[in-house]
Amino acid sequence: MDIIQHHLETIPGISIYPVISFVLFFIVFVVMIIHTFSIDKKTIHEMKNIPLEEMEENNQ
Amino acid sequence: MDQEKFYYDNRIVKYFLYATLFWGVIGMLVGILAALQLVWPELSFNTAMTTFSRIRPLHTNAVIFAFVGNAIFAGTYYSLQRLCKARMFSDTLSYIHFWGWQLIIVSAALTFLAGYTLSKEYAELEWPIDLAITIIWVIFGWNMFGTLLKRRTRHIYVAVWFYIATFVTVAVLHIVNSIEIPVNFLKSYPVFAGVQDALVQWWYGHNAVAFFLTTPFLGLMYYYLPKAANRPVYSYRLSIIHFWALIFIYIWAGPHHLLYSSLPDWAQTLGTVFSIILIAPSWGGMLNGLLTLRGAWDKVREDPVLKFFVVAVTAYGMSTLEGPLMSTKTVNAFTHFTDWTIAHVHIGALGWNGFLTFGMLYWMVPRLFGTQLFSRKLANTHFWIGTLGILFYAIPLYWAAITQTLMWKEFTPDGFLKYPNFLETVTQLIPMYAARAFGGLLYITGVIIGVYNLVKTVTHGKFIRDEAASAAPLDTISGRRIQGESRHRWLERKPVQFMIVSLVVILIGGLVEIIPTWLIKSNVPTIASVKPYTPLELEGRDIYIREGCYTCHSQMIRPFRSETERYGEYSKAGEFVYDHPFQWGSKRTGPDLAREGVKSGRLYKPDSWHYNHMDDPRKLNEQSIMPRYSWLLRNRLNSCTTARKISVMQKLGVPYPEGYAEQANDDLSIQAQQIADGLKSAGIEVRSDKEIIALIAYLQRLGTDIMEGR
Repeated sequence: MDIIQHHLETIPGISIYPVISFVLFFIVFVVMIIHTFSIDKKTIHEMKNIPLEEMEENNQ
Repeated sequence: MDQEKFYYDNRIVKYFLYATLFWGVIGMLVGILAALQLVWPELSFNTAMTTFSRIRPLHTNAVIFAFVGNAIFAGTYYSLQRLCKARMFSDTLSYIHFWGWQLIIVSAALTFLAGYTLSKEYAELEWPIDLAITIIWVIFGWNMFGTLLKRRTRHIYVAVWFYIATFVTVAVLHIVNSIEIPVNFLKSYPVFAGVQDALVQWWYGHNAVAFFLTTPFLGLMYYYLPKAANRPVYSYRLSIIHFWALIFIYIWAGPHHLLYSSLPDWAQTLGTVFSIILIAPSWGGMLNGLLTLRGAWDKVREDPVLKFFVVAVTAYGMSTLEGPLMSTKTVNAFTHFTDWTIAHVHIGALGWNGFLTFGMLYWMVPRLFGTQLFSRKLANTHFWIGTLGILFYAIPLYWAAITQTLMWKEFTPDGFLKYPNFLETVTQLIPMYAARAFGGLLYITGVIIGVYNLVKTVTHGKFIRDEAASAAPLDTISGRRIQGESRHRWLERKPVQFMIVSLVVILIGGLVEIIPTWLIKSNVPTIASVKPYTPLELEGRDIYIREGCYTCHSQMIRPFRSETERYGEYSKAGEFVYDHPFQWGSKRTGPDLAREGVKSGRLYKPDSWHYNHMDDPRKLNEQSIMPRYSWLLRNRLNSCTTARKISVMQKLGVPYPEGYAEQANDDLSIQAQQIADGLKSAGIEVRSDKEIIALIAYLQRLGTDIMEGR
């Protein structure tokens, strides 16, 4: 861990801002992952096929 | 359930599609001219309108907003109607959008050539055109949301999320970066100055790349790539994560354009950190695109549309790896201000935007005209010539960048700059510039073949103006979340709420960066000896802006020994507090000018030198590639608006004494006469009311303030 801490500390100007930003981003990222993996397979299949559906219907 | 019959509006798609091709050819031809001017400066023709520094912004704007812009609209209008199973909300709004956008492009071209510019890269347009863009953009959004609200599908497909994010973010960026106070009908000053202006500009500039050149194209990729491959996108889950991560992170990365500049360190670090994180969502998009083709690579060999898409998505991947690497301080110290940046953006523009556009057009045109593509062979030829064109364009410029940056930084064993004469480092690059122009020529040859192929396809087919379709109407369900529906699932069927959440997500990054720079005074330490420009210098500065000097000259000395040795003391944030707009530049085709006026400096030149140099740079340096600006010696300075300019500056907080506007013209004449007298003693007869006098006054002022404080 020391090596990580050392490198973080020696970034010039590292202050609270990047930390807050990173934490914010991380929370959004984790929430999104949890959300997307909670969607059931059938729904995912339906959603991803939306652009292809109209092709079948309109016989393009 | 009963099916409703309706018609897709293909005519608006056709209009935008033709405009894409038309402006694409024009924008790229102008680019070829600019590339050739760097090899043969005589091609600027010693005429203001055709000079490199006016041609270059015309090229960048034409390609970004005319070629890519129209391609976005063509692709969006086609896919949005089909993804919503509805005709566009209003045909009238569609056509106001189309003609309004073309009118903006034409007025942009005319004003750039005439020298009306704000000098903020990719936001150079003057205030009336900025206003027009805002109105037309709102009309586009109104039409898009109207269509979304009357759609016949419950879920809004991921491509449309990208369109929504594009709409809302471009609106925010454009409005914030265009806050300016008019002096007259075609002249204004931005409200921000110096460091703040630079931060806002590059927050805009970076996100123009993100939300005009990236997110709409990702939306197009998520629609047209599955269509062309006839298989769904590889992972819809990945597309959801990728979408939110991308729009959240992109907005923070702007300050990486200002590393080692006078921007506060914390903001620079923030830019770097987020740029590195950005690799993840960018590559999420790239992988999702490429993996959509898993098991279908045999089709890529056959189908030119997929070939274009594969190279486009690969170029996107390369650009979005290269960008973050260039955002680290170590690499940036090496690449910034060099041709590396130009190569980098062209991998994106020619590869990602250009090839995705052509792939999309080759797919769409036969369908709009109910026919087959005229020639698959010609499309393949276009693909190969275009790909070679990209390589011939980029590789010489990477080479040029490495050559020049090494020459800039090389010291002799005795500790002196090995190449103290900037021109030496430019002369080395001319063969690379010629090769780059050849690359551009190859690329446009491909484009012309493409245009021919598409025109032939059009003439062989019959246009389906209103395409019949049918779908069941949506049953009304509660606007609130229904039982078992997650928040995000709810959001996916509520376009307006979706837009609001996207807006909040992009605002977080923008506000954290910009507000502290406005509010915290310590971010820009004041320097007592820094004074406002004199009226003549201000007029000279406006000529510097009008002629686009910033396209080749920076005014930002970074704190490196190789730069302080060459140019003088490094630039401080407090030196730019009266610079509306800032003139730091982003490329050094010529030397930095931040300390041009410092008499004890290495770059100092007397007034007579500047006079002759503007007349013809090659009279003084045979190998110079700077264009001639001889009209400055003939044109009379228009000082009718000087007083008004001073008043506007006062409104912006520049501390001229009260009532100074009335006195400004007298002071201007006195200073101009002094310069004219000085030139006379050097053997140059010139009237004091010529534009060159004002420009000399400005150049001789550059960088001198902090020296006088000592």
